Amino acid sequence: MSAAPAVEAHGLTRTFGDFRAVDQVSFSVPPGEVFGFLGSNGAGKTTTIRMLCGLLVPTSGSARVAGFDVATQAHEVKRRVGYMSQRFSLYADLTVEENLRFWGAAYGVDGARATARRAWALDMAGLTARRRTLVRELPGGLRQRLALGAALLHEPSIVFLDEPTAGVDPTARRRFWDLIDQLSTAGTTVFVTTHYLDEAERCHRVALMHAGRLLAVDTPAGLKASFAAGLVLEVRPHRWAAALMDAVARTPGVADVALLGHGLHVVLHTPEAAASVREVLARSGEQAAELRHVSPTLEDAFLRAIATARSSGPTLGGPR
Amino acid sequence: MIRRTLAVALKEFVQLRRDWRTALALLGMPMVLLLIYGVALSFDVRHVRLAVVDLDGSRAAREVEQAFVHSGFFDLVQRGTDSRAIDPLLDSGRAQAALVVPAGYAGALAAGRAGHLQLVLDGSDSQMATTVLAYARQIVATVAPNGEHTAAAPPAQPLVWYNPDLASARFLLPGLVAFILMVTTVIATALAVVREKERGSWESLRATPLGALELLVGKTLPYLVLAAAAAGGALTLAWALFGVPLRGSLPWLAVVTLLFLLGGLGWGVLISTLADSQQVAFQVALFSTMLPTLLLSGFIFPISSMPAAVQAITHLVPARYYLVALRGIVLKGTGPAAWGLEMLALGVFAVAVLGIAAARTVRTL
Repeated sequence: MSAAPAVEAHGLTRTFGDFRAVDQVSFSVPPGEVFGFLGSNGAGKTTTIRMLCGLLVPTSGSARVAGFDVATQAHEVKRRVGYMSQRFSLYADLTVEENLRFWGAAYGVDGARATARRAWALDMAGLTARRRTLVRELPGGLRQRLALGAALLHEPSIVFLDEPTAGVDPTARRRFWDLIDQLSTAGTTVFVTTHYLDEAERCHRVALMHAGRLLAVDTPAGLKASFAAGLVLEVRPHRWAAALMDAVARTPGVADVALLGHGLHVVLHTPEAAASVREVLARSGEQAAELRHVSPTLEDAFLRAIATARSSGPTLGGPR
Repeated sequence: MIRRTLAVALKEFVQLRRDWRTALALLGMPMVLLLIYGVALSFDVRHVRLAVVDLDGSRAAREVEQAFVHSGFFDLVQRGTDSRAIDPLLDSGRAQAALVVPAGYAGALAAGRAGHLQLVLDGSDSQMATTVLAYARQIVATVAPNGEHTAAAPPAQPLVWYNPDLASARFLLPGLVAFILMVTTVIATALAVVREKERGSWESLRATPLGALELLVGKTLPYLVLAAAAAGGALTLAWALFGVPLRGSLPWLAVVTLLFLLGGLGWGVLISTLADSQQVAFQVALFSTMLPTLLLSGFIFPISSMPAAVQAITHLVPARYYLVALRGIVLKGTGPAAWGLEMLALGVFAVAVLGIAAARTVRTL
């Protein structure tokens, strides 16, 4: 039997007055997947998550989470999902253990199971020895691990993490993502928003969101291939001149130029524009400049996806 | 259901214990305020500066003068025999009242006619003047009938029940207790919920299977306990220091007070569903409780003398009902027969605001 999707959205839409925060979003997430939501601030990621957690009623469209409708069966949904919100991670004026005790009870975990789950969460966060410490005294990384533990006390089949690693140092972020991998291996579906590209690379699949719309859903490699294949160049000039960067940026067919170490990172609109770039280099006395295609980053793919949507898709961006 | 409610309450208790300043303020503020206002807020008038102008020079005249001085309300600042001295005394404020015994006072009494006395009052403080006039009437009434010369019929003899010496503390302190409890509980609960909103924890709480009622009851329970303790403390203080009696039943007092507090808590929660910042919540809580409870509850100004439109508004002020019941229990020793309707009104108010608050919490989901 092929498992039913853990999360499934059909034309999910939410408006606030005239503003379409989330616009006709549809996707499906199989159980056990690490599903990333990538997008700039205000792209609608948090609004989507809030609808999926049963915190916000969709204006139109529908979504099922763990098999329950988020609009009409919010209570059932809440019992089966864990949610780690962007702004809040635990009560700073309670100890580690008091927090776990409270959130466990809030999720309806009690008795021997509550004790066992608390021990599990303490162990997972590496805080067993510091369980009587006030949360405000913990460093950010540990706090986030504990918050994840708290969101998992009731053993949800799906966990929604809204920018869980914002403001956490790189080492702690990596360790946090190790936990996410473990969860996924154990069968938990992880739905995570981020704007760190290295984190998005660790997702099984990534949804690109912009101005309330879902631009694409694919594996990181798939996104790079479909949006930015052959479009990214690295130019290594022999002499350095600021004017060169401007000249390349003004070349028709060039979408974006960025400084990268000793060279330029050039993103093209079309693969053919590579020839134009070479011409510009030649005219600037840089015939010998090294120019090669490089594999695109997820960021390149993301920017290209936005640009493509802008030029071809229906009106994007801006409130309607 | 109950277990989850208690979990919320326990968490709130622990947080309150850590934030002991807030808890202490909640518990102690009503008593401190009661102490300050209880001393300062009094309509009783004492040590009225009195000048006496005796134009009669008789023994009867001196008896009247002595009655005023020994009443304890007046301090004699000057006595003389020239009525022209009165003007400068009152103008300068050296005297607030002047008693004039006209020539022929004793003679009139001796002849069996009514003796006339004159009392000149500084009416710029009308409250004081009215009170002094009332005192003077009482004093004259006690002197004249016993006076050996009188033949005039004694004036109507007032008989004041429940508060025989008309001490305003007995009348005002119950109102003060209601006022302080209302303001502190509404502010405390409104802030407690809005604080969670500001910190973002409200969102996380809403993501749990906790119901709106479990959340609201759990969050307000610790404040109810604190407010009830503060109410007990304030009433005890009013009894111990200011002589406010408890003539009625303590259990009924507890029931009525609890209903009143529940209404206040509900009001606080309702405000918190409308306000998104602690600052806004604080201001709304303050203004929606302080002025109505001060002006429209019968705390100071009698409702019966307000214009009809204002009287209608007072029906929305819970302190109005609480005051009737509180004064009834404390001063008169009456039972629910006397203030049953008021108790019902308090109950209706509490259920209504808590209901609306819960409905709004569900809707803001």
